[in-house]
Amino acid sequence: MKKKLFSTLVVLSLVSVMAYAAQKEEAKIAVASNSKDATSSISNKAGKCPYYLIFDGKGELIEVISNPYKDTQSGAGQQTADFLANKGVTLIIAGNFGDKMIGAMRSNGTDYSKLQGIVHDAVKTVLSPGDQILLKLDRNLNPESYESYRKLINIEPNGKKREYVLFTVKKGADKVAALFLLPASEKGRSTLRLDENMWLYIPNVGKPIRITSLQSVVGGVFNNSDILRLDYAAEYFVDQMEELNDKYVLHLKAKTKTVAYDKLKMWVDKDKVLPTKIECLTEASMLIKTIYFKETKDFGDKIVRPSVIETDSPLHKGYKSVMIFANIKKRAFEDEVFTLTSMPNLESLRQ
Amino acid sequence: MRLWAAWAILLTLSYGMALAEEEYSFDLSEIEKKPLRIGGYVEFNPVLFGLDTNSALYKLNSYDRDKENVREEYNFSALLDGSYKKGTTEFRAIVNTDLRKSYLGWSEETTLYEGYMSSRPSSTFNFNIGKKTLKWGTGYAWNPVAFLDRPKDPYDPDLAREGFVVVSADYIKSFDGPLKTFSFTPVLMPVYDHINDDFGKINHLNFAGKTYFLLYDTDIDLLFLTGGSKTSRYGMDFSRNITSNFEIHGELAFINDYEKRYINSDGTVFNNEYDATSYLLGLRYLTESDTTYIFEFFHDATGFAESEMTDYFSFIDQGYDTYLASGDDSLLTRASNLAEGSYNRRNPMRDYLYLRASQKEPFDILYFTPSLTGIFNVDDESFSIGPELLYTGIKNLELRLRTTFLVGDSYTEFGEKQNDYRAELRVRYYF
Repeated sequence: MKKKLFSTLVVLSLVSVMAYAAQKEEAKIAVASNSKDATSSISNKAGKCPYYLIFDGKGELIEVISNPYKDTQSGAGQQTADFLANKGVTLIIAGNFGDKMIGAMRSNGTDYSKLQGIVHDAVKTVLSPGDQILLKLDRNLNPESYESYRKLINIEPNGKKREYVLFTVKKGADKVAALFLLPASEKGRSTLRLDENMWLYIPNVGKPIRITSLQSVVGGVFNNSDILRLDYAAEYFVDQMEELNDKYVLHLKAKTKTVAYDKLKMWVDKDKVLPTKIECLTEASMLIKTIYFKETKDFGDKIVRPSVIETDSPLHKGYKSVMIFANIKKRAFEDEVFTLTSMPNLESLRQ
Repeated sequence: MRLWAAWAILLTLSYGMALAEEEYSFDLSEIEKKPLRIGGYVEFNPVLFGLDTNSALYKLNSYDRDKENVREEYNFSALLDGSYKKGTTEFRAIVNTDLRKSYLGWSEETTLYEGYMSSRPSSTFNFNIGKKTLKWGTGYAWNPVAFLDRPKDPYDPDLAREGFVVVSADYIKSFDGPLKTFSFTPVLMPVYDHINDDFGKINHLNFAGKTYFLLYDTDIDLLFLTGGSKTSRYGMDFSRNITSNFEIHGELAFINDYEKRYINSDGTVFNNEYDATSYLLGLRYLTESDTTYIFEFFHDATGFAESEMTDYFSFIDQGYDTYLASGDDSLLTRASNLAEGSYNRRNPMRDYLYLRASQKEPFDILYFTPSLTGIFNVDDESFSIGPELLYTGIKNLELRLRTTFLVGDSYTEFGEKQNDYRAELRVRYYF
């Protein structure tokens, strides 16, 4: 009986591995590129990029296409999406996509991924199961473009609390802005992050000043990069992946030196593909802080994610900071919302 | 007994859960958006001045009073910040009232800091009309390119300031690639009788502008002012993070045909017209132990040379001696009139160093930030140094205790200011 059960499990595992392998084999990946070489940088213009490099499911470069729509005045994104779909492309990678191209890819059933950096690194990323999990986890945590209301609570060892309420907007992989609504002493302050650039605007004081990811505009255990967090996949790649019962354990490494934490160890719920715990580590694996994800909640519009994030740190013994999400809603924003000039006007985005 | 234990555990657990729920409650009605918003602060600010009765500026300001070694001053302020939004249009007003009890008696001053209408038809364009502060420049203590702003107080750069009546717009555009943001801010500034008449020569419509680029992760502004109320000037500034804890910034301003009035020790007034180039270079550095250093060097080409300041101070001394001998204060009145807008600027000379070191929450005392600020006059080697304690541990309340000591020889800037030291407490409550 035991032997039969074992054989069945082996067969089932083999079938699933073969199916995964076959799925990968069938994948055809098109990467928007600035030149014909796989070591080139990914183009930010999905519709009008000079070249598309086509890779198979094993990551081999199989074709270089000069984009026939690169000089088209209007509708380039839509035509490029249709052209690549006709060539059997299943996934398109570019630094950025226009709204019309996204619409065309959705109706063609083509997947897309916004990635920056070198072409062959991006292909490796999307073919690595760990990175795919990370990309999915990012999308499960929040839509690519959204607004949310958060309360931050800093709790001292004696139980004393300090609360802040923030209205946050995010767009794409690298744009986040947050406006302080409470307490009165912080009201009207706003913070902006464009990739690794961060600014703080204090009403009546002066123009926005540059701040750094390691500082904290609210004190407590959360620093600026925690409060203005980008997608994990935008800042980290998966160095190693383990499976532990119902969890994946992802060992993430920062893509650049400017990222706040050198390494992350992330426990991911296999079913929900959501993080349950993250350890933030230095290069030498010293623990800086631990982040716990709790109380999964349905925010509507298929957004089901932890509503409470707690953090503590061996560097701040006895202190705890908590982030509570009350509302997360998909919302599209113009890029210009995420500019220094617009920082004093974030309040006008609240509906 | 077991039943009791079970009940006790259950009760404890439910209490714990209730506490946990209460701990993490977040009611969105707390932050419901309302068209009318009012906020601001009230402030109490007692100040103790330790006077230097031998200094030139004490003689100039208090020659006709009995000598005092200390003076007290009590300031009560209220700043009201209100806005009303309808559709894409917003009306905003910031009003400040100062009530002061000083050696001169009680005085009250209410000033409209800002009062404007703003229209934002889209995220790429907005239009403003009214009294507004523009806040140009990247420097912390000084801003040579802030052509349309009132000067900052380098001892309190974060203070709210009064604006000017302007018509302005912002055009903003974002891009992918090395140039991430571009914006252009044209400004019209009328200077007529009763409108901005303290800005410069009246009966001129001035035109200014700022072009902003976020290029290769660097903030860059190009700025200009022309129109006649002041001589034409243009400049640039930048700011950039070198690493995740290190920022650099700078400003460069060219002022055409700057006219400087100065006095020699005999009291003869000279006018000197020249093109002035001022600049500022600064950095902000955060250490692993949470100490923030701000360091700036400022060269103000519109400032006075050391010999010019010495002449001015010696003219005051001469005027004071004349007053003591004959009761004639005409020379002191002349020195006082000449000081307006030039010699009495907060930092009237040419080369300054600014250093501020602040330590966040030392010895694990939460919400406590001690800091030390120094301003060093490179030309005459006088300086001011000020330790400060800031506590923000009580919700919406900010407590700041600060002392500033002024040190310098005779005929130096800080040596001839009327105070030897200044100690103040600031209690500010935000609502």
